[in-house]
Amino acid sequence: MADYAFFLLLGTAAGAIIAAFGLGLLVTYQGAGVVNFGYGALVAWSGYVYADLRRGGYPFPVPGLPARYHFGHDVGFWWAITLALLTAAALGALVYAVVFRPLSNAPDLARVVASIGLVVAMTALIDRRFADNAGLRVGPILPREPVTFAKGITVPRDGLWLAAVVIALAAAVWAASRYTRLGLATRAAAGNERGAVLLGYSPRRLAMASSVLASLIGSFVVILASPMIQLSGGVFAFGYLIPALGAALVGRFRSIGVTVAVGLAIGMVQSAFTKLQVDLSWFPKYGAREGLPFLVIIVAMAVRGERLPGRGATDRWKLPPVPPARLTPVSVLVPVLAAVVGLLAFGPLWRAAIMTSLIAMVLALSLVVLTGFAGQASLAQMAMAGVAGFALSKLATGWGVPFPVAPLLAALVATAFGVLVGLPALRVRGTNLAIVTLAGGVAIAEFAFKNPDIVGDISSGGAKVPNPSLGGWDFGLILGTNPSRPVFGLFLLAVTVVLALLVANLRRSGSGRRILAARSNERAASAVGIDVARTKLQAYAISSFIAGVGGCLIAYRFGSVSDSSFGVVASLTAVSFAYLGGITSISGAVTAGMLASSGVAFFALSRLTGKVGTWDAFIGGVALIVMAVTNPEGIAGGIRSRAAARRATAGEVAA
Amino acid sequence: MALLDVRELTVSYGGVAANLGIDLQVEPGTVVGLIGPNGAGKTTFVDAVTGFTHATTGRIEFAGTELTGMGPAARARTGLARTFQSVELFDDLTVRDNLAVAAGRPRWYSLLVDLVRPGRGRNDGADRVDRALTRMGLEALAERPGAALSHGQRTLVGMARALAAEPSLVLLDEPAAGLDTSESRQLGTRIRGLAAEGLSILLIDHDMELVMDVCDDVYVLDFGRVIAHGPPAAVRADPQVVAAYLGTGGAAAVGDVAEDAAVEADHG
Repeated sequence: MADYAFFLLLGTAAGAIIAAFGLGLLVTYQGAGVVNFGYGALVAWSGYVYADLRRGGYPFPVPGLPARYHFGHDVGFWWAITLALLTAAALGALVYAVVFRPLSNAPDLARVVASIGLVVAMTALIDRRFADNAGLRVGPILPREPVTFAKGITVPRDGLWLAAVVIALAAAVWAASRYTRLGLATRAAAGNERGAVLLGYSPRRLAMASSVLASLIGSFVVILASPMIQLSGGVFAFGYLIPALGAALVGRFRSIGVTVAVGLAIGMVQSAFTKLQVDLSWFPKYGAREGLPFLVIIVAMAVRGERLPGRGATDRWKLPPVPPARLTPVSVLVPVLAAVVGLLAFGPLWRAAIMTSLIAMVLALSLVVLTGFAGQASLAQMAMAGVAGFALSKLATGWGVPFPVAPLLAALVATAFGVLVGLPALRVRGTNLAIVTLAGGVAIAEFAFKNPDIVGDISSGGAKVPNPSLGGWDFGLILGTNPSRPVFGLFLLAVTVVLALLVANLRRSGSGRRILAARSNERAASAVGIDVARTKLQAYAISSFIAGVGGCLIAYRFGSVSDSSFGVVASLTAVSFAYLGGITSISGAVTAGMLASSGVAFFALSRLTGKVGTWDAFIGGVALIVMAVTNPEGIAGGIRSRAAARRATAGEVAA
Repeated sequence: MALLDVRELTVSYGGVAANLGIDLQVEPGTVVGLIGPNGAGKTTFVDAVTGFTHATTGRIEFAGTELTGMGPAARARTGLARTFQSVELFDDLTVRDNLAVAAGRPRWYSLLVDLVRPGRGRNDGADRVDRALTRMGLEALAERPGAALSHGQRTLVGMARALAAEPSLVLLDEPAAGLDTSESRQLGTRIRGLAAEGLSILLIDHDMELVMDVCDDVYVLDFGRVIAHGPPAAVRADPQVVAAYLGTGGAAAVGDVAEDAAVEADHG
């Protein structure tokens, strides 16, 4: 037992970071009405600023500027923490002013996408400015002398200090929200913006203040924790953020006490897993840490969720309207012919860009069905693709199942997983569902895709997948000495077209109408006899089948599957581009495919402008934010509504 | 035997009973009214019958089937349709598609068929949609999106959607709310017409005039209990009804009558 106490106490540092992030997410939500998925990456920057200042530099977060100002010597603790916290405050204010305030009336999904842009931009920024971050070490801040609780339970005291600091911060925030007029106004504004106006406060200023406060809390704790942990953008952006989202969700983004307690508990229990893995032979070696927040979220939701939204429940998860699917010879043949010409007439680089775009279109189509038609969020779509990719490898390489059967079976495996992942959606809606799927996708990726028992030896370049071939005719990408065969592109194109037609058929059919009706109004849908749960699961099934086919295409393209293609960042990117293209229509999915990174648009742009260079990930993230802010309905939707407006004015003139 | 037979229905939220021991029957082909002041528990009753809220105790039998334990969708498929006070159209869909959603009778394989051949199949109920459009006089609006209609039109579409499934009983939850006098009278005529075709209707409304005009049988609810039941003329004369209904909900509108009623009630 003493061993477990030791590991639990050792986990207080991680628990404190999770609790602080949970508190920051709660404050942001209460003040600005936003679940900021970019919060971890945002406050991580302050940790890096502090670390950099202690070695004599101040990093500039803007490409084009010099990388950093050199002081030439350690500026000392007080200067470093002051400058780092000032930076944190400025970033908090900036993010609210340029990202979340312009989106205050946009669909919730636009906010999710914008905060994903924030994650991408901030992690890319950290990668660029701290390419050498392995060498970044920070001296101790909190007292470290070991403290002995009982025989055999001796732990460094800094983790306990950190937990105490976080609890004190939480208590201060709680007291301020409870007993000050400003806190009262913020709580009033969270319920109803007019409440704050009545108390004489501007809701916007309150939101700005909350955003700054949240950034300060997270940054302060990250700085204090920086001597205890390995600094890494990814760990802050997801590793601590996802359990923090779970903790905040259990506290309903409202209860500070519950959020902090759950956050601390998750960190401590995760730490005890290290011991459990040694003691229990059956305890999973992979994914247990990531699985815990997922389980916490699922249980909290299952206990609390409602099968149907209550009478008068307000829905902030508004989605853009779904246009009818119009299949005409022009709308089908023109894009297909363009792709054929591109694949056959241009060189291997263009061909590669077109192939990337085609695969991205397939993934976007899967999100059109799920998010566009059914209104269900998923930040785990690439996990579905990955399940199919690994299943394909097992089927084709392991058991020798031939071509058309193996990928279809693999996609059906993904379908089964998709229905499983869809189960929480029967009781969870909107942004909360996005959080659940984010945690679930990470858990699947860690539990399955990194597990050698399931995917084989990773060091040998991932699980192998043979070329697709039918009756002796091989249409793989690489054959013999030819590394880029156009026939593989035509194969991708054919699959994409078939899937697009299936989605168009769905939109035009009775099943599609029922899915749209359930998206539009769950209460009314069940009143006319629609089994809402069933339509949601149908949408999950179709969507994960399509994503599974996409995963098989990725596997065929690279000849192997590895976890890096199917991680959480890939899922977030897929949703973002699908949303930007236009998540409610097939034309939107086509646009999304063109926009996808390393796709046609990117390639054309890099051809035109020379080299975009090492900043492309950062620029991609910023572009995502800009496009989400300027086009909350996606590009295809924007074009459509502009065209409709033009028709309307033309009609008025005619009349 | 009654088409809808509700016995001893009680719905409690926490410790508060919104419906308390309600007995109510709807005979085939009749229009039954359910009236009562604000907060009397009328919508709770509709929700409990249609499965949107959980009945604490009691039995609900519809066309010989015990409904307790079934979800709203399953109850709807037994031929029990409802409308909502707040109408609740599918705003993204056209009027025709709103009705088609209700008229469709999907089979387990419909999804697979639809992916390959999305044309209007046998289970799509296009004929039921057309009949419902005609019945409510909505042919001209069929291709308009739900979001682009006036409130009166939306109410009619909501009723047409309930009819599109060709149910045996429709529960109309405050269909006259927000309608002007002439629209309300038109609505009354339509309801009588539907009953003449054999449909049974449970009409929940504030509009005394409408309820008394079209109903064969009226129940009056107050504080979750049935305080009166009988033919419209008898219910209208019931002093308890006058006290409860006009004394609270209708006070502002009816003024003097309410005062008189309150005085009477005090003396009584």
